[in-house]
This record gives sequence, structure tokens and C-alpha cells, in this order.
Amino acid sequence: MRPNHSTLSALLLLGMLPGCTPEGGGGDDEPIILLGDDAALDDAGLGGDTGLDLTDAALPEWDATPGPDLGPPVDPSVTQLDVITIEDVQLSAGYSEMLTFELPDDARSVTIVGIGDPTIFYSVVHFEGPDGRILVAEEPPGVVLTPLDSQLSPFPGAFRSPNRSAVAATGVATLLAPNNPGVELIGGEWTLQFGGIGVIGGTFSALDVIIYVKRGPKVPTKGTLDVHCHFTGARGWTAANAPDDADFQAALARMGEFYEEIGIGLGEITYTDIPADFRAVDSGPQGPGPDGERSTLHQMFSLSAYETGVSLFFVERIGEPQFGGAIGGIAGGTPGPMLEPGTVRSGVAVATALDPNPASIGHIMGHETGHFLGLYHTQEFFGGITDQIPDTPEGQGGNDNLMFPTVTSAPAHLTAGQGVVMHLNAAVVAIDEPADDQAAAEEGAR
Amino acid sequence: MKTLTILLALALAGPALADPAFPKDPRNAELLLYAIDIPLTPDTVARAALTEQHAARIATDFKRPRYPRVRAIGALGVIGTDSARRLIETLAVTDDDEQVRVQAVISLARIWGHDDREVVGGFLVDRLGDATPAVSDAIFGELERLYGGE
Repeated sequence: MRPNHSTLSALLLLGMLPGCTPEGGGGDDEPIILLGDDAALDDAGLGGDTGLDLTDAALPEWDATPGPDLGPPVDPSVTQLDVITIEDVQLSAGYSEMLTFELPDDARSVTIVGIGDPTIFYSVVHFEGPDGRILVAEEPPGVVLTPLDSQLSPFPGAFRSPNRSAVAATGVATLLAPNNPGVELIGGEWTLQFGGIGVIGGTFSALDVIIYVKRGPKVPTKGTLDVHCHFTGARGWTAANAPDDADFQAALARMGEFYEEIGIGLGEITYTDIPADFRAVDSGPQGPGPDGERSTLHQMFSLSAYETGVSLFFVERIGEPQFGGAIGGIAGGTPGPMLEPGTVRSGVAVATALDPNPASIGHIMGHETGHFLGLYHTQEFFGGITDQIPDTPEGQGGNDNLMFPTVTSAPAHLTAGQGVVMHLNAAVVAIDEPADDQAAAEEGAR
Repeated sequence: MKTLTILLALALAGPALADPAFPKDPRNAELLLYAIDIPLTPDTVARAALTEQHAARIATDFKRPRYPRVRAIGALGVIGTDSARRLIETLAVTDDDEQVRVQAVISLARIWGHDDREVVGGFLVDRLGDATPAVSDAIFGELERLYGGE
């Protein structure tokens, strides 16, 4: 499965405007304008006073096709990954315009990444299908938001939406959809909106948006995940010795066992040294503001240079900057900005000094990578919050699930439902199985 | 969007709101200490109903794995009483596990260094045993540099 890059830029949404071409129209400094946004058109000098007729009938026929079209699959029998990019999406007073893009009928999932200012909290706040189905909204249907919800997330409606949309820290917005079996994608035009919060509330900002569309005849059940290991020297592990270090390999093997159970094998394993300055990092900014740029965790994640899989960073300690405690691991998001190296959230950090047992370190590696691939805790301690996957255990009896919030060296597992979510993530490369008739033919040939 | 309200709620991080949706479960306190990625803050410690007595018991239970002991010391720092500080000071000096001692010193500096540099500085000087006046001055000077601008 290889990405099929159809970089369409923000202008694919503007293609209907006279004078704009998909290749060259609208430079970096030009605002995104969507048809129907009269105020923006006015600001751009294209509104009523200009005398321009902006109705569909007045547009040139060649660029009247609405939105991006990814076209037919290269091979409908195999899984493929297409990419849509929308550059320089402007946020005004905390919101982007409503962006639109087309999903083909064989879209199995979308993985959305918005990369912006490292001092600002971002989130997908609206994601709506062509038939009006709401996957994410600030006021999700049937949900009464409470003050507690505002404590859970700066975007409480998005968090409580049918397809949970969470924000973990600054700089990046992400969404995997579907992330539970209660929602599904269909072909057609989808609507997407981002929100942003700075230190004084709804902010003016800009995002570059990448949308990975996983297409195929069915949800994959087999796949691989590349793992890129980054070493600070913590625990004595380096790129040179980790491939032969028994403890490190035991931790990696334990992570691999969790994933193998749900059909994901570890793919290419790479080993990279990074500066020892990052042996002790903070746990990231606690809110919008300059801490997002100062965060040593964010600076470390920015060192990720790999465009596949997940980047793991092995540090000694992840300290909580304000109160002095420590955590065992942290992911760059749920999901993380997969396949996008170099962002302030492009990785997973694992503390190696808090629990020296390789089995525990392997558990943390698997748990945090689970977040990075889109899994939530099966059960939060507070607020009665569970994940949205029906086959995961609820309550504190479910502590043998990898995504239960605590660390253990005891056996743990992922459910089939969690496996589906992980397979839908763009970072997991599908291994297509032969179609039934082809498999039968191969069997017969033997 | 009620951003200001949300940000205030995040920034204040004060006592937890009543949480009728999730009755207090005594196991929460223990589980918080084993949590992988849940921060130790006044809010999470209060929600988990983690008491100083409970945290102290875990912090000093040498049969426990390092992980919950380190987290328990972090929680004692969050709780922040004088008795919690004295226990942390003791562990910073006497515990056999280096990582436990590291956490204890960090908790002391993070929690008390801001407000009580004399206490933290005195503790560090005392631990050195025979610190010269110049060394003492350097320690207090460094604490002043670290926290003076805040």
C-alpha cells in the first residue's frame, strides 16, 4: 500500500472562483474563501459591490466540479492510502471556515492532521457527512454538556461527539474516523471545521491540513506498523547497542505480542540516537501559550524524521512541570499526527527509569502507541468516561486490557474492536489477503 | 464557544467538582499511583480521593515496585503539607533506590522551592554536611536565580 498523493491545496476548494486554477491560483498570502461565505468574499473584493456574478451558472464549466475528487482506486481489490492536503487554513476568532472534501465510496477511514502554531490548542470541532450525519460537533445531537465536560477537554462537545475528537496538547489537531463501530463513513462530500484556542480564547491562526483516506474493499485485518526507536542514552540504550540488548528487545517483543494478537506485526524497526539533553523531558504544555514552544517534550518530538509508522522516544524521566510528579509515558495525541514527521507531537515518549522491568516498559510502549493510533483509555478514573468501543471491558475489573490506564508487567490484551480502530489508522500498512476466489484458486493449484 | 470559561477551568486546576457520574471508588487512589499517563495534580489527587496517609504508606513500602512509590512521592508533593515535606526529605536522603531519591528532591524543589527557598536551601546545605559558607551562598543563590523571576 503506497500513498497516492493528490496534493490539492486549499485552492481545490476555490477552484470555482474565476481566475483561480488548481495549480497556481491563490498564493500563500491569499485567504481561503469558500463559496457561500459572503463576508469573506466581500473582504477579498469579490462580493456584491464588485458586480461579479458568483452563482454556479456564471462559473466556467471546466472548474465547476465541487471539491476534490480522489478518482477511482488504483486497484479496487487492494487497500490504498490517498492523501488530500489543504494548505493555510485560516482560523478567525477560533474557527476555520467549513472545509469540504469528497470521500469515495470505498473510503474505510480518514485520518486528519492539522499542523499549526505550537502555542495554540486545536481540535476538529465539526465533521459531518453528505447525508447530514454528525460525527463531530460542538453540540452533538442528544448530548447535554456539563461543567465536567469542560474539565475533560477545552473542546467538550467534540470530545463527547459520536466520533470522539480530543485535544492533548498544543500545535496539532488530529482525528481518526471512524474510531468506533457506532459511526461509519459514506461516499460524498464531507464537511470539516477546526477550532483553535490561544491564551486569550478563540484565536486567529492557520493550519496546514493533511487528510489520509484509507480505501479498500474492506477494513483490513492484517497489517504492519514500522517502529522508529529514538535513544537519549537513558538506561544505557543507544542506537548501537539496542538491537542486541536483551532488555530492550524484551520490551519491544512484549509490545509486538499485544499487536500481533489483533493482526498487526511490527514492520521495519529503526534505531536512532538523539541528544542526551532529552533524557529528562517535561510532559508537555498544560494549556495554550508559550509553554508549547518551550516544552522539551515537544522539542524532542520535533526530531522525528520518519514518514512511516510511529516514533518512540526512550527517555529516563517524563516530569510534570508544575507539580513535580512523573508519568510513565505520553503520546503525541489520540491519535497522534501520524506520517507527519517534525511536528511538536510526532511521537511517543516512554520513561525507562520509573519501572525497570522490560515487561512494564513494553506495556507502556504498547499503551502509548495505542493512543497514537487512536485508542482511548477503556475506562477513565474520573467522570465515568469509557471508550466508545463496545467489546472493551468497563470498570476497574478490565485492567488486563492494554488500554486500561495503569502499568503492569502482567498479561494484557487488545480486543477485536480495538484492533479494527488500529487497522483503520493510516500509519498501519494493510496487508491485503487474497480474495476468496483467488485464494481458492491458489489452494487448488497446490 | 465558552473559551474563557474553559480556560479558567483549566488554569485554576482547583478542587475537583463534585462528580456524581462516578462515585468515589477507594481503588482509584491506588490506581492513580500506577497510572501511565495521568498527571498528578491537585485535581486528580482529589478526584482519586488519595490521602496523605495512603500516599505515605505507598511511598515507604519498600516491597512495592518503584513506579507507584515514585508516583506516591509526587502525590505527597501535590498534597504539600509540612508532614508530607518531612517524609519526602527523609526519603530524599535515606531511600536505597536512586530514582526514588531523585523524585523526592524534584518534589521538594518544585513544590516548596517556589515559596520557601529557606527551607529547601537549608535542607540541601544540611545534606552536604560540611558545606562552606561559599557553597551555602551558591545554593541559595541558585534557588534565587531559579525562582526569583517568578
